[in-house]
This record gives sequence, structure tokens and C-alpha cells, in this order.
Amino acid sequence: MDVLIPTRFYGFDSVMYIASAIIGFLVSYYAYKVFDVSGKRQHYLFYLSFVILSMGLLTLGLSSLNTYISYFVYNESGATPVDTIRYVDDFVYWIYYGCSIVAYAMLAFAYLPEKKEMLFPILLPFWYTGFPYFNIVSFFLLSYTIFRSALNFVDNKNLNTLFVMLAFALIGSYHMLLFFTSYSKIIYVIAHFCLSLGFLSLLIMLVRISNPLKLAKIGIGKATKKKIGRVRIF
Amino acid sequence: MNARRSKISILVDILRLILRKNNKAKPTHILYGANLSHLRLKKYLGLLLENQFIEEFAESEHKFYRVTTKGLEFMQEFRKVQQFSEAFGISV
Repeated sequence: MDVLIPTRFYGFDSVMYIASAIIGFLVSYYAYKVFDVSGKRQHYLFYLSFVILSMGLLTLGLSSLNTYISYFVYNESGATPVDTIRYVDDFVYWIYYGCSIVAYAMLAFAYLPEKKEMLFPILLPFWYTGFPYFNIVSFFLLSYTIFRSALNFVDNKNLNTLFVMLAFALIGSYHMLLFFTSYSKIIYVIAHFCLSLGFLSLLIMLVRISNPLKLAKIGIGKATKKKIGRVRIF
Repeated sequence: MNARRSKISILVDILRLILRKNNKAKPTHILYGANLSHLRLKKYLGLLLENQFIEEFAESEHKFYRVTTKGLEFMQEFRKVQQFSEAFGISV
């Protein structure tokens, strides 16, 4: 299956992967804090899934950046690119595929009731090779997480749940759109913007949660710690 | 929704209760406010004292509890953890 990528977009997708990986690591850090408090396996799965996904994205970002740089260098010099660059790129894509599939499966596991976890592997289609199947499998695994996050938004209508639902929906859209990249170059660009917006949505949620200004407004800032007797409750 | 509170939620409920009483609460206030048995209250107060989230002091021959700075910081961190969990639809 051919993937059409606009030449002007070369390098931007690498930066998007790396930025998404950084945000993913931040999310995993918060998920680890939750696990530290609760000790629940569900929270550990959340933490691990975002770490593994971020590792895959970071590896892919760095490798694709190297490939694009070498493309421009060889184009300028007129020399033939070394085969190892292509083989390394292929190898890294397989690492990214594996990391993503494992991460999305863990996210789906985290939302399943504990007793029914063992049934889930039966539904996983492991018989895949290559780009189009990876994106279909990823979308399939993410669809349950998108559904659960949508239910959570319906139950708890607030901005944080909305941002999480949007994040998973956009990451799912990224995989869905990549499936159609052989038809038009613009689809590849839109897909990567969906990925970036998805992780940006998670970042906005994290910033909202850890906003110190909000704490000051509700009377639990550093200045009010001295007046412990008059602290207002949130 | 799970009607049973987790251990951490109970600890935070106790801290909130003390703060609501202008950061000076008697054991009986906490007992009735937090809806706990005497034995469980003793256990949770012991945990909070051990972690230095609250401190005990006497006034007019009565025993009171107040939340420490460390307890306030713990509540702030728990709030972030709770908001994060709620955003993803997982319980703490």
C-alpha cells in the first residue's frame, strides 16, 4: 500500500511524533501519581500504556527525522542513500506498531471489568502485517477506549472529560485517516494534525488539573497556608 | 457508582471535615461527620497522625485536631489525582 506524503510536510510529522511523545510521557507521569495513591492495577495499566505509546512515538519521530534529513542531504549532494537508513526506518516502524498495539490493548484492558479481562485477547486479531492492517487494528482497539471516554463525558459533563474524549477520538481519527493515505497527500497531513490535536487536548487537560492559579483562588495557596484556621474548602 | 469509599477518600474526607470546623475539630465531630465507627476512626486518625497530616492539641481540657501544612499539600495532590482519574473515568 502506497503512502502519499507531501514533500513540504517532510519533517513536520517527525516533530509531531516527538511532541506527542513528550505529552504522552507527561500523562504517564500523572497516571503514575494516581497509581502511587491508589495501588490499583487499572491505574498501573494506564501509566504503562502511555509510557509504551510515548516510547514508540519518540523512536518513530527520531528515526523519521533522520530519514528526512538524509533524504535532503543526499538530494543536495546527488549521492545514493545507504540501504541501512531504509532498513532502520522499517525496523523502527515495527517497533512503533508493536508499542502502539500493546498500549491500546492495555488501555482497553484498563476499562474492562477485572473478571472479564481474560476474554479480551480472544477478540484481538494478531494476524496482521504492515501498515494498513496496523491502522485498522489500532482503530479497533482504540474504539472501545473512545466509547468509554464518551460514556464518561456523558456521566460527568465537565471540560476535563471532554478533553479526554476528544483526545482519544482524534487519535482514533489519526489511525482511521492513515488507512486512506494512498488516495490523497492531504489525508496524511490531516491525520497528523489529528494526532497532534489529540495529544494537545490531553496537555490542556493536564494544565487545567495542575493550574496553581486555581488553587490560589480557592484559598489554598502559599500565602493562605499561614492562616490555616481560615482556609476555605474546595 | 461505588458506594464504598476507598481508604484514601476517607482520609481526605476527615481532613476536609477538620478544615470545615475552622481547622479545630474534636474527635466526636469527626466521628459523626465522617460517618465512621469508633474503631475505624481511631485507625484513620492514627494514620493521619503518623503521616503528620494532622496534629493533636489540647484546649480547655479537650482534645482537638488540626490539619498541618503537609496535610494541606496532600489534599492538593489528591485533588489533582482525583480530577485526573475522573477525566479518564477511573475511580481512585
